[in-house]
Amino acid sequence: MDLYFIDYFSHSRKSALHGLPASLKALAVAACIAAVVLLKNPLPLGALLLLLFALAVFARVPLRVLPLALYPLVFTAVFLASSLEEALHTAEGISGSAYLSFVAATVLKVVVAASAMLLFLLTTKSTDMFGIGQKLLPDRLVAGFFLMYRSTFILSGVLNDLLSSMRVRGGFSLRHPVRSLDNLGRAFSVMLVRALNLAEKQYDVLRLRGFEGKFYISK
Amino acid sequence: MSHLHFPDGILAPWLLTSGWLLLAGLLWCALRRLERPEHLKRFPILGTLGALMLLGMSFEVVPIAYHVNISVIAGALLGPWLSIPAAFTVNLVLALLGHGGITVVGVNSLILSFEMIVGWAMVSFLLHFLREHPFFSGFASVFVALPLSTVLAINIVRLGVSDVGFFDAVRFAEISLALGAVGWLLEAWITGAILSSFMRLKPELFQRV
Repeated sequence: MDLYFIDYFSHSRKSALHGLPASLKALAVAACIAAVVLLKNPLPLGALLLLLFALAVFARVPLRVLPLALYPLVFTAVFLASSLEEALHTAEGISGSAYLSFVAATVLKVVVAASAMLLFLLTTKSTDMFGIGQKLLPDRLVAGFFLMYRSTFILSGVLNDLLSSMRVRGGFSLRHPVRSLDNLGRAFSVMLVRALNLAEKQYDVLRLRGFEGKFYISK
Repeated sequence: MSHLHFPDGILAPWLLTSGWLLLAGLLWCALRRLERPEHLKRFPILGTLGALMLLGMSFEVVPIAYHVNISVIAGALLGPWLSIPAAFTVNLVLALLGHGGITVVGVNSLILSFEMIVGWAMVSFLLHFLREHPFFSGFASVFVALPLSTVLAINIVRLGVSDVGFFDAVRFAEISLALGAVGWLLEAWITGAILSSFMRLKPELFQRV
């Protein structure tokens, strides 16, 4: 979940897609999702995926984000495995066009939806997204969302350092699974303490600056 | 299973709409309750614990599918009302990253909220009677909260998989429960270790229970 890279890419890269208004891109994503929900034929879904791929190339999105778009397929595999036995009982079996079409459509739905969301995330600044959020959601919810987004970066650095020091000291090893799980629990308990301390400091700083439950996003 | 990694277009629209409406109602109640000024300081806690849940989900204990969740611990610290917006914000970020469809956020948030609230209830109850055994309290809490949320998720899927002619709900339940059981064990052990260590560091945070 490479939020650092996604945030950096959305803020610092320049392309025609990056320059488009966030609300327009959000509408385009909504249209993609609507197509994913309504379409059952894999051909138009495949065409939509090609379009998204072309847009990603145009925006110079690197290949390293490809696993993010494909990751949901791991869990879709559980869904497809549940349908395999049922398909075997049909007259055509798993080699029939109906089942293959179903599998293709399911896979394409996953990848199209994930790709559309990722492309939106990669080409839209986080502040613009929060601006859209403020129009759709209550202020306090957007404030909580913004604080969560910000805290993710701060705590991510702490967690990476903690896990690195654990690995260097042999605290996380497949040869000692129980000890590894214990050490992981201890690491996360330290993270919990850090998270709560961070929350306290954030609250103090925000109150000093007049925070009343809403962040104001300027253009 | 804290959330369904289901894409858009698989679950029936009526189920997804119901999920969003129910979530909207619960969020409205939660935010109304938290509007008082004395609750303002809890929003940064929502932010940081939500961030920790997200980071936990990015750390894979067993690649590719088993990751730390800490939903039970987060629920225990946030309490029932703050768990609902926390679950929503976490699922929204996951949907933006492509982990589960954006239309499924409503249902996913309900499942995660349920898990966090059950976790809160179990941790509160067990720590009240077994304060000297925080590892067992954490372990047992996960082994109640996570199976219940998995069963809830399975039933939601069973209800909501619309005109998908090939879907076998029983098979799906078997696979989910079998795979889930491994995750419950890992999560239970880690949660027990977290609670055990945390009670040594900051026992006063669970003083009210």
